[in-house]
Amino acid sequence: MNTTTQKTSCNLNFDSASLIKNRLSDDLLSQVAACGSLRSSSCRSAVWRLLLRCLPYETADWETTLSRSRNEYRNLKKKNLIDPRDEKFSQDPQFNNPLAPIEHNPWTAFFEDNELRDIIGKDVSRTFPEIEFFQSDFIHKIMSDILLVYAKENPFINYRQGMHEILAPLIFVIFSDVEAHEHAKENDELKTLTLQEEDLLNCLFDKQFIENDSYILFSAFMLEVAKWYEDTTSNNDDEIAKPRKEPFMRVQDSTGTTRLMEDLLDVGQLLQEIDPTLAKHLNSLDIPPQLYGIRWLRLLFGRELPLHDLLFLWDVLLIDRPIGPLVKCVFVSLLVQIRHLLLSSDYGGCLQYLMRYPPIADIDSFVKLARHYRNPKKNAKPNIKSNNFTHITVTGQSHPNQARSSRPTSKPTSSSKHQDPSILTRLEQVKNTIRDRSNTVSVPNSPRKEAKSSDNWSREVQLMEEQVSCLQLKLNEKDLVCSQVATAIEQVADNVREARSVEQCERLAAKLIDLSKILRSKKNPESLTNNRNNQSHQLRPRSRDQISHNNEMVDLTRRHPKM
Amino acid sequence: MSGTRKKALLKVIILGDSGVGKTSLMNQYVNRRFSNQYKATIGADFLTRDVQIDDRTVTLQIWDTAGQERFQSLGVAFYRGADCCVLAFDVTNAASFKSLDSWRDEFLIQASPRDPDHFPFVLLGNKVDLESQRAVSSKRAQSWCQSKGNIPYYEVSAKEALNVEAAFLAIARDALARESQESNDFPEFPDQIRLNPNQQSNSSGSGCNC
Amino acid sequence: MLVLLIGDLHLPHRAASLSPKFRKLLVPNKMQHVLCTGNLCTRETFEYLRSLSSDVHVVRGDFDDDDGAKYPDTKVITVGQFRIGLCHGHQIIPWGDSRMLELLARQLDVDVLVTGNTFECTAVEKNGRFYVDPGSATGAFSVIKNSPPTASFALLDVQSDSIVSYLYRLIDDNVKVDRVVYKKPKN
Repeated sequence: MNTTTQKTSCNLNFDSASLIKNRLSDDLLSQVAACGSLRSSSCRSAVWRLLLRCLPYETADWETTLSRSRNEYRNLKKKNLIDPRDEKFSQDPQFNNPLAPIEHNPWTAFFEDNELRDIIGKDVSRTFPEIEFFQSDFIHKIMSDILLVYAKENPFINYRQGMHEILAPLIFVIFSDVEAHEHAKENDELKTLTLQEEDLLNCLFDKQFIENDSYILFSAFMLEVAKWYEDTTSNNDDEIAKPRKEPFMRVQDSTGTTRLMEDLLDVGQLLQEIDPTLAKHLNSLDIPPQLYGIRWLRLLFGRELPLHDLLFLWDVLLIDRPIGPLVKCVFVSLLVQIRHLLLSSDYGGCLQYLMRYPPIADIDSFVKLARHYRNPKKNAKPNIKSNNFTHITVTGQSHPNQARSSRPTSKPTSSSKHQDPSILTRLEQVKNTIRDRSNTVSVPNSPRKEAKSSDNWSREVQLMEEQVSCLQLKLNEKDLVCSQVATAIEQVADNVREARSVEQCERLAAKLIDLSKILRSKKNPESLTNNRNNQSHQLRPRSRDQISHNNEMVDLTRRHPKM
Repeated sequence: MSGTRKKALLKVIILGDSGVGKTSLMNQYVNRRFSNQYKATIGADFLTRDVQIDDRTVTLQIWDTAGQERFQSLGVAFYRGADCCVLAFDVTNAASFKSLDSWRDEFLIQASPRDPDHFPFVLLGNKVDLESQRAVSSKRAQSWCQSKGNIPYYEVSAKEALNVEAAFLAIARDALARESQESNDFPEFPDQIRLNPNQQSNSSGSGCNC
Repeated sequence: MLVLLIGDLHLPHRAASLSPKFRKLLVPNKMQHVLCTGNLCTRETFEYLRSLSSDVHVVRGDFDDDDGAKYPDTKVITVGQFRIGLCHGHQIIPWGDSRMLELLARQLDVDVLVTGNTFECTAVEKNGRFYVDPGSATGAFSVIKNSPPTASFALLDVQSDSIVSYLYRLIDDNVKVDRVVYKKPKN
């Protein structure tokens, strides 16, 4: 099996020194971003700002540009964040007191802002709860101020839920680069730079201006994403006044009234072109992109990928702007990658996979797939068999589809008084699906060797390694169970062929139910078949916990599960 | 062989202001756990749970919506086919209680149920574990419910798992009652053609989409 | 932090209602705390205060109804860096005597003492402490005054090291606002 799990040979090490030393251009940065070099670089935020034109390619202009944009934010803050206690306002209590409902009373604007701050605050406090970085008051305040200023400067969009999760990774990236730079200075790692060059970097990665720089980067980013946050009620009033009264309307029939809906319709079309079988299946279940895709687009897949993979995805999106077309390809790639899961699931099962996307094992292959759809002639299709961990979610919990009671994926069978050949073919299908799953899942790349020097990053890497090992163990166990059950099902199929009575069919049906229970639970499958000699190994019941519910990583140093 | 008792599939939508606890309520009911680490719901979320009502197994398909979302942005047809609507508010937040009227009205306009006066709503007053900060009295909520056609009211706490199970069981019952009422129009046909929008014409009478 | 000081409403016995001009000002979601000097007198008035903020503190006035039995005679709450004492004041003999008030303030160990009962809206600093009386919010009839009292209440803007108090009075059916600033003495 020829999997392209190895990274494309890309030895481009791109750090902040490279920024200064190289002649910067779109081409260079595209290469750097596409091959994943930014993952271990300390200047991702700079590359993003360059790509989004917040920063000019001419390094000589950096200081003036940065100075100007940072000042601009400071002024916007002063203008938009009203402090009624500021002495610049009239001190006459008749007009300047907390309660007077007068327009020019600074308190009026203050309370209006407070309402908006409340709304923003609710979301900010729920940002990436699993990542320590986002739990500090300091970060909360920065996020809140930035979002408030942005909302007031862009009243047409205002603040909408989700923007906070576009902002969050940006702050993280800028903060990381600043820290990495400080660290490099402390460890005297900037020896290759002249004093002038080092000054440039000091200016670029200035701790004092994290908030300002984040706002600038966020505004630029939002230019790409804002269309999905438009509020229909602010335009086109006639159309929304009366809802369409079509009796047999399905979700996919409602026309797009926003660009979000339009783009989601486009995605549906794209899926139809790329994978008509899957498209037909989802259509027949009445599961169009509109049902689950709002979050995918608005957060740019922020909840479908862990942060480190998400940042790589955004690297790649930024080099192909406007990002719309590639985003749609990413969307479809997500669907195509789990087609085997979706095709064998009913309405509820499909939605649960889509709402809790099974984590991607190999992000490189995934990105290659998306880029292939984007430009099939230029980008080869990667060869991946199955690329998702289907038993868990991105946050590490058990996938809800594990617990669901079984449902037939076709019409419910009537009580069988006679042998129905379709039952046999169904058994064959089920057997094949299980067989497929027990093939090796492509092994995820070992985390990048060049871990970032800052503590945050190495901790992240360690957690990832632990998670991967744990997942592999789980998969191996499942493999065994699957092949054993597959054997058992073959045997039942044989017996069904020879069955002569209703009672026999009943017994065999019961046996099949038992087998399915085994697949769904951790029950010991010892007594599977009569023919014990056929089994190559026997599973012992294990007293191990599954990955704990509340986002905890499994600590492998404490338990040693036997294999 | 026992007769095939049709499995029922019920669509339940939870509406309410941002932050009242819709996601927590759904997760408490489906997963029986509470976390103070839920992220803001964007668009909508979806979970299912099976529940026994009398001799039937009913699958509740629960849709958790974003509190800031206007109806139009989720798409009108999203709401069609709902068998029950759960309205949720935060007992410590008077504003979230005042919004209930518009949530209910908008839902009826967008979902256009056949019998709007008898469409099953249920009101959940969440966060009763914060009694000291209560801003909406039980009485006040009850009278609102009565004024809207005797909507059932449950005081719940997703955090303490208080009354959540009972509330959703009642929701399931109400939704089931409405659904079977409609199916009573065609009692004899094994393969019922439902004149309920959002259904495939060749699905079985239970409304199961699979 | 905004703290509403209000009291001596005497609803419904001595006054019919709160002036609509005041009702217009007193809206929910602006004040973090409400301190009531007492003499509401009924549960209904309490519920009204409750609608303005979820954190309401009431002390017992001499005319509060049976509910009043539940309210304490004095109360101290901490807002930011300030300890604020609350007492109706009918217990202080002579009524409104500044030395007795100072004694109470020292007993309670508070920076700010809020009392009522005088039906006069005042805010003064004395010996490093701040004494505020929000007066009667309804301008209800009072035995100690010859002319009908002015309806009034007070609002404190508690900042990190100072308190700006806004005094709202209804004079000739117009709301007049005054401002007094109190800075916490450094000791």
